[in-house]
Amino acid sequence: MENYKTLRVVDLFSGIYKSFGVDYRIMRKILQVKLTMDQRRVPTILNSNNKPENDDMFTKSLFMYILIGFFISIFLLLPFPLFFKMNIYFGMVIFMIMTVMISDYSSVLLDIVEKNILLPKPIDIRTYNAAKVTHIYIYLLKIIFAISLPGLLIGSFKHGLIFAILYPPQMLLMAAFVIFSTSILYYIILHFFDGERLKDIINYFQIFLAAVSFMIYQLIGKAFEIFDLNINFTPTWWSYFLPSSWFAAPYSIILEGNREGYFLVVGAFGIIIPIILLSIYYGKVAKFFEEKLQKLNASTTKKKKVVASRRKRQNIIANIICRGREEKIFYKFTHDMLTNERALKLKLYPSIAMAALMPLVFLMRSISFTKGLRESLAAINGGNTFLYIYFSAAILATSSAMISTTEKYQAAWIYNMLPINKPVEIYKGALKAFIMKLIIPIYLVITVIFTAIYGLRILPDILLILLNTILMMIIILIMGNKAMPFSQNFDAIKHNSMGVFMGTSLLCGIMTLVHWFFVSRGIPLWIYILVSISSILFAWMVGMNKLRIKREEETIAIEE
Amino acid sequence: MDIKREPILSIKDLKMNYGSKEVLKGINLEVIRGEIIGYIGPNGAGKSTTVKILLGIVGGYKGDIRIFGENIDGKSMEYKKRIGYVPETSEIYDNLTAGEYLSFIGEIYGLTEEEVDDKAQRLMALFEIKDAYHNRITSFSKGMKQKLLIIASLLHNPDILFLDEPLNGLDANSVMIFKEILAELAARGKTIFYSSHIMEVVEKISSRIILLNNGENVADGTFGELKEKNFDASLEEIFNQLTGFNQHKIIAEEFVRVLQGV
Repeated sequence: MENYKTLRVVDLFSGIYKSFGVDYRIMRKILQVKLTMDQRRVPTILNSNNKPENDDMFTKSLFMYILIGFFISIFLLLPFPLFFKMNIYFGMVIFMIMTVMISDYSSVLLDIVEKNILLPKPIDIRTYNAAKVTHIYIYLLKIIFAISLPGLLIGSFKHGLIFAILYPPQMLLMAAFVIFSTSILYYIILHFFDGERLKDIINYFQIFLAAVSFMIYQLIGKAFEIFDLNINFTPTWWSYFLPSSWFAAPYSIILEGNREGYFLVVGAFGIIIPIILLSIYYGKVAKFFEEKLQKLNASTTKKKKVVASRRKRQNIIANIICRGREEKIFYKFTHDMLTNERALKLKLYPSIAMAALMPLVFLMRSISFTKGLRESLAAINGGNTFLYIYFSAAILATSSAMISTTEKYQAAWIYNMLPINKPVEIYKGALKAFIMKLIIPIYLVITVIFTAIYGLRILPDILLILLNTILMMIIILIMGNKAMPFSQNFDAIKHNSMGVFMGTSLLCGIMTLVHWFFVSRGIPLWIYILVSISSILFAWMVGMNKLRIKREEETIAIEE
Repeated sequence: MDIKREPILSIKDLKMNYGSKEVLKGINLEVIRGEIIGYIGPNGAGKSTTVKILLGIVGGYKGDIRIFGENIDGKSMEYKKRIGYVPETSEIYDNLTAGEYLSFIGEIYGLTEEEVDDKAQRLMALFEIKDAYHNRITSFSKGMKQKLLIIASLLHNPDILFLDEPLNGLDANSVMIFKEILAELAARGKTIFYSSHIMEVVEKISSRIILLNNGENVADGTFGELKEKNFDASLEEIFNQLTGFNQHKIIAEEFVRVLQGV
C-alpha cells in the first residue's frame, strides 16, 4: 500500500494521539487502508451506456470548493472594518464546512458496518474511533483549505504576510471545532433518542442546511445593499457565542491593533473551545460513542393505530386517483418509498425546498430595500412577476426524474420476476404518487404566498403553471431513460440530469413566454389551460404507452 | 393422461453465454408436480443463471423452456403469478416497513390489501417476528430478513418455488419449521427447486437431485440412485467425485502445515 503524504503529515501529531491513549501504529494502518479504499472507490453505475468514471471525484469537488471560496473571499476586498469582514467570511466558511460535515461525512462518523470488520481484531475502541475521526479530519481539512485558498491569497495580498501566517492554525482549529461539536451533538441525541430518530434529525437538518445555503447564495447580492451603511460594531452578549467572531478576532487584534477586552476574550475562545471540545470528546465521549452507535439500528415499533390510519388514508386517495389495479399498487409503493427513504429524501427534498423558495428569491431581488418595502410591493402587485413560479416548475419537473433512483437499487430484481401485465401502470402510479406527495403540497405553499402578494386574480395562472409542470414531468419521463421507479443508483441519474435540466429549462422557457404573451395581451387564459390539459391527456394516454420495462441483464451478468 | 405425471417445467437444450464465456452448455430437464429438486453444483456451475432464466430475470438464452406448458419467451406474465423466489442475496427495499413491503409484493400477485395484511401478519406470527411488522426492514437481523423473504415468496401460494440458500441465517428451530413446510408443500403438489451448498440438507429434503458442473448436468436422480451409481455413502462424496475433486485431504493437511509454520 502507498505511504500517503497525508499520513506523513498525520505522523507529526503522533504525540497527541499517544497522549490520548491511542495505539498510533494501528491507527495509522487503519487510516492507510481507508485512504486506499477511497482512492479506488468507483461509483457503480447500473446503466451500461454510461461509461464508468475513474476520475477522482473528490479532487474534482475541490475545484468547486475553490470556486466557492473565491466568491466568498470577495467580501475581503470590501471597505469594511476588518473584524466585520472576517466575521462574515468565517461565518460562511464555517457554514460551508458544517454543511459538508453533516451531509457528506455523517455517514462515515456513524458507520457501524466497518466496526464488525475491525473490532473483532485486537483493536481497542479508542484507536478505532481515532482512525475514523482522523479520516474525516483529513477530508475536512482539504476542503477547508480549498475554500480558504482564494481568501488566503486575497487577504495576504491586501493585509500582508501576517494574514498568511495567522491562517493555517485557524483552519486546523475550525476543522476541530466542526468535527467535535458535531460528534458531541450526535452523541447527545443518541443518548436520548433511538437511532431512527437520530437519522431523521440528521436528515431534516441536512435538508434544512441545503435550503439555507441556497438562500444565502441567492441573496448575497441583497446583503451588500443592506450592509451598505455605516457599520459600528458594539459587542453584545450573544456576539461572544458567534464562532465566526472567535476566528475573526485574532486578525483584528494583530492587524488592526484592537486590544479591547472583547477581542482578546473572543480570540482566546477560538483557540480554547476547539481544544476543550477535543478533550471532552476523547476524554469522555469517544469511549461511549461507538457503544451508542449500536442503537442506530434499533427502532421502536411505530404505533399501530397511526400506521393503520395512514394506510387507510392512502388507500382512499389511491382509489380516487388511480384507475388500474397495478397503478394503485405502485402509487402506494412510491408513496411509501418517498416517505421512508432517507437517502432519497436527502437528494430530493433540498431541490424541492429550493423550488418553493426560488420564486421568492427572485421577488426579493426585485424589492428595493432603499426605497421602502411598501412601495416596492405595490409596484409588484399589479405586474406579471408571478411568472417567476416557472422557476419552481422547472426544478420540480426535473427532480421528478429522481423517482427512478434509490439507495437500494439492487432490490429492483423484483420487477423482473413479478407478474406485471402493464409496465406503463407502474410509471403512472409512481408519477401520480410523486405529484400527490410533493408537487401539490409545494404548489399549495406557493399559492398561499403568491396570492397574498398578487391577490386572488393569479389563481388561474398558478393552476396553469401546475398543469404545465405535470406536462413537463410526463415529457421528461417519455424522453428520459425510462428506468423503473427505484431501480437505479443515484449516480446513474447524475450523468444525464444536466441534459434533462437544460431540456426542461428550454421547454419551461417556451411555456413561460406563451403564458406571458397571454397575460400581457389580455388573451383569455382558459384557452391556454385547455391546451395544456389536452396535451397532458394526449401524453398520458398515447405517449406513456410506449414505455416498456427495461431489463437489467447486464448487471446480473456482472454479478455472476 | 395422469395429471401428476405431466411435466410442470421442461428445459430443452438450454444454452447461455455471457460474452464469450459459455455458462450453460445445453441443459435438459423435465420436472413434474410435487418434486423437491436439489439443484447443486460448484461455484460458477451455472445454477443461479438457470434459475434467473427460469424466473425471467435474465434473457438472451438459447433453447426451449416451458413452465406450466407455456413457453416463457412469450410476453405473458401469467406464469410468473404461480412462481415464488427466494434469492440468495437478500436485496430488499429495506426503507419500507415489513408490512409495506409485503403488501406491495402481495398485491402485485393479485391479493387484496386485506388478504395480504392478514396473511402476512399471521405468517410473521408463526415465524415469531410479528412484532416487527411495522418496523423498517433496515432494523431487521439477518434471520428476520430471511424469514421476510420467505414469506414474500410464498404469500401468493405459488406452484413452483425457487429457493437459493433459503436457510441462510435461520436458527435451528426455524430451519426445522421451514423444512417441514417444504415437505407439506410438496405433498400438496407444489414443486420446489432447492439450490444450496449444504449437502446434508439437500440430501435429506430432496426427492431428486440434479448436479450441475461446468454448465452441464452431470447427475440426475434420487439420492438412492446416485448412491448406487457412484458407490459413495454421502451426497458430499458424490459431489466431490462427480466434480472431479478428490484432493481435499491433501490440501487440508498442507493448509494446517503452513499455519503451523513447518
